[in-house]
Amino acid sequence: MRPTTDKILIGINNILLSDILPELSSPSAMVQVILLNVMMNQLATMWENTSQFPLIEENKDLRDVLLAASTTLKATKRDYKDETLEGLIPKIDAELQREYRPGEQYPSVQPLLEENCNLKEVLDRTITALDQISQDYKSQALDDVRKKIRAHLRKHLDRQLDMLGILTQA
Amino acid sequence: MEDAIRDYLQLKMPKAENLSISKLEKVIGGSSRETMSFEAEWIEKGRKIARSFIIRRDPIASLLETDRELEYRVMQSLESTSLPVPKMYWLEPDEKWLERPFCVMEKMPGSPVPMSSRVGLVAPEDPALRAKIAKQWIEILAQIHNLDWKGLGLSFLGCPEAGTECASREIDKWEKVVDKHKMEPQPILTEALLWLKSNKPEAERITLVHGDFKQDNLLFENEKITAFLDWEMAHLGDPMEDLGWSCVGFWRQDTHLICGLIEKEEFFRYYEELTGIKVDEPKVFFYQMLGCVKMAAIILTGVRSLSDGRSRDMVLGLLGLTELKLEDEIANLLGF
Repeated sequence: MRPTTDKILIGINNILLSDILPELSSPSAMVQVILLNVMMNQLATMWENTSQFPLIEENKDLRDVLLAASTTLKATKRDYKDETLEGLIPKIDAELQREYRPGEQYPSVQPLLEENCNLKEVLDRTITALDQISQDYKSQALDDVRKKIRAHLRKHLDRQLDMLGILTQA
Repeated sequence: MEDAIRDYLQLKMPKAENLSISKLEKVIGGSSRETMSFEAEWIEKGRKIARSFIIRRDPIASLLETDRELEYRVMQSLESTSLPVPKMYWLEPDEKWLERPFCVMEKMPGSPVPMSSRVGLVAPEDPALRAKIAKQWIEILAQIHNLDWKGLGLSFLGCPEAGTECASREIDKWEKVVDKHKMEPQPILTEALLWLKSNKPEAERITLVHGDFKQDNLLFENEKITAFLDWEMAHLGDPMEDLGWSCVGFWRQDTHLICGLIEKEEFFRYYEELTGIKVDEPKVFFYQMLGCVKMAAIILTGVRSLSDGRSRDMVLGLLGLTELKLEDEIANLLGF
């Protein structure tokens, strides 16, 4: 978990108000800190309303990957009987059913974040299950799903690294 | 705080007369414990004594939840060696003195290696200076791995059994930290942990492992390393673990040099020359992967304490953002 932008802004605000402001003796510096505090609050609110798009895209990609995994795992189930597999497939399908649809409204960050977390939870289980199954059942289709998952992880990792900019070179 | 420290020292040094404390200040760096330095003066047997001390106090929350007693005992055990480790004076679990447990140790001369312009980590920009530091740095590592840990009384650290026990212990330890502190699923760490569990190497020998052997844990003065610090992750294990940790790309600071100090081949060559231990590169690779997971676990601990409001240290937030670099390194090591 990386801290989300709003959490960082709230953290900066806490430091400004609790650690820096009490140490200041200059009235003008105090005013500047208070103004910074107001601006930080505003930026946190703006983040709430402008940060949905990467999440919408990542969640869509996660669904595509999980759909491919579900299809392959169902086919595998015909030849390979395994409790993990039996339990995992309904979980993937249930998560795929639970899509956040804002309808006419502007999409909100919080439900998208929750959806993202739930999808990643199922992806995490799928990775573990694929690894376990591959110990005694070899299948090109399962290998392909694993590759697809890794390609997805790479793609979104690269996107996040791009957004971090200078911090990634530090 | 000065009064409390003076009272504490007076209790510990009852023969000290006219004891005074000065220059109490926080030492920047090291997010696992709060570090403060101060100077004390007193008269003992008619003689005036002045000494510099370091206090390491437990934080409210931090990057690492480690055992202060373990670090204290390890450092105390190393006092009889020629390793540049500060003398440990007192370990105080009672919170009545400074609100939280702490230990008091000798203040060693020197300062961290000159800061590079980049955030957080340190490595000298001057190649000649870098080479001098690198050489001494490897000599310290060799010395650690060649120590007679049984003779030094370090068996309390718990000796792993032969075989893959060294690797298993570390995987279990850091997987538990990830599970405890992660705030959302971490598929890339899951991939790394699965790989680690399937590729555990066998240790050929058990040595003392520093556990955090990198360039920002040393002090330096007049082209000489004067202290090697932060022993809180020390344990008994496979010496290749320290090499793998040093090889983690996170500390390379925009260079291909290990810890921003030295070429990998040169590092391994000099280490082999000093220790007589053959560097096993696949094992180093394994421990580099483990190092990425371990550092990610440490960062997750810090981010959790920041998000819970137990810490206001923005270094934790910054590290949280750069954790992506570790995921990038894991993905590269796994080839995706």
